[in-house]
Amino acid sequence: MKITEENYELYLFQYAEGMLSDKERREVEAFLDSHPDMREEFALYDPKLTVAGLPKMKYEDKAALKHNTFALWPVLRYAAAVLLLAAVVAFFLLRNGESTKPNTPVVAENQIDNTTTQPLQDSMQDIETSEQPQTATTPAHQAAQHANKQQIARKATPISESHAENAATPSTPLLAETHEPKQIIDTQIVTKEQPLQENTSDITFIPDNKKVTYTEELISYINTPSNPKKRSEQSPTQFVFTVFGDMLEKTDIYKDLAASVETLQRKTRPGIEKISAYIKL
Amino acid sequence: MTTHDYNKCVDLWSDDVYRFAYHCHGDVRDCEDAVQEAYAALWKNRDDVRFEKAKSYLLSVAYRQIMKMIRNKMTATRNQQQITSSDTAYSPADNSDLKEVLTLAMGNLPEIQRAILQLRDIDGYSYKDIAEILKISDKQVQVYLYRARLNMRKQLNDNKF
Repeated sequence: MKITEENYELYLFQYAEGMLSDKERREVEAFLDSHPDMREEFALYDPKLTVAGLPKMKYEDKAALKHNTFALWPVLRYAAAVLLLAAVVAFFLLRNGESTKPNTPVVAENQIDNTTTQPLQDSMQDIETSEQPQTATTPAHQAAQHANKQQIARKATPISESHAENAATPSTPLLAETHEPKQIIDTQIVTKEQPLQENTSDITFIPDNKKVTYTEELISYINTPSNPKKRSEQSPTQFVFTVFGDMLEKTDIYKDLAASVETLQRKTRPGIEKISAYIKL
Repeated sequence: MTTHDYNKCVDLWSDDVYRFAYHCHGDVRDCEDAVQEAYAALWKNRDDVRFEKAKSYLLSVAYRQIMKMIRNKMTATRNQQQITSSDTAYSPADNSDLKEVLTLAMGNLPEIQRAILQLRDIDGYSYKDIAEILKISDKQVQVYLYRARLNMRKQLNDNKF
């Protein structure tokens, strides 16, 4: 270290406080020897002089400095956080509820599909009299039900009227030589995208004189009510065997047709489309 | 720091902060303002100030507040007039009381030296803590303390205390 006139106070202080090593102490003493005025000044320094005995003082108005332990603001913050969380939860619940609402129209749509395989009047009555809590409680379902009724009402148009309309169109229904089966097909399977009347000339394994009969039987079977008590006692496989078994030489077609009929009885659209495709064969 | 801790700081250290401000400045109203400012700052920053460091924080804020008041209000001469006036605490009623003599002598010191004397002799802070409170270096603390004690002794000798 180098003691100068600029930094000597620090070293004198540390010397007086006993903070220096022996070597440093000797350096300080050498500095004081060479600076008598500073030695004289340093002689006045009293490390034991303390102001610790100064009178204690009291700040009177402590209460004004304090804050209430029960602060309203943190409570409000927590309350706001809880409300916000509840709102978020409610939002997602409602959102999920709305996302599941389309299921209701699906149910109704299935019911509409049922009407394609059941007598139309019966379907109308079934929907009106059916008591399904989950579909009767929500306004959305009521709206969907109303739409179903309208759709069913359109389908429930008298067959002759429906047939007249279809007859006026260029797309003539399947089996044009007979009226009754054609009317039934129009009312039951006419909603399919692929017309049924196409490629009738491609039918090779069904005799022409039996095409109408088989179609009638098939549609009659499909139209049996879904109620197991009213359904034909024949299983789809038995039915297909009974009607087509003596003509279907290809086993895979036979099984596919039976599966399609069974599927159709479960009121699924793919089943309808499949059976429609086989009818066209 | 919780509200409970803050209120505990008021109970424990408001007297010390007030005394510190008072011996640094001497004006009662300014010292009370400094105490209030210090605790207001502590309340505002209670989430950042740990309880263990609260007293240092209070003293630091009070010191800065006092220095700000002094710079704004008075010169060293006016400060001297206030100290010797009859309505200030630095006016000893009886010079025979050593404590009051010390108080008067300390009132003539520069504010920084008064502050360091208090923090070292009364509050017992280390040089490092004092440096942190006053925002100066350790060596500056030691130099100011040397000057403060030297000045105190000179005053006592000059006034034959």
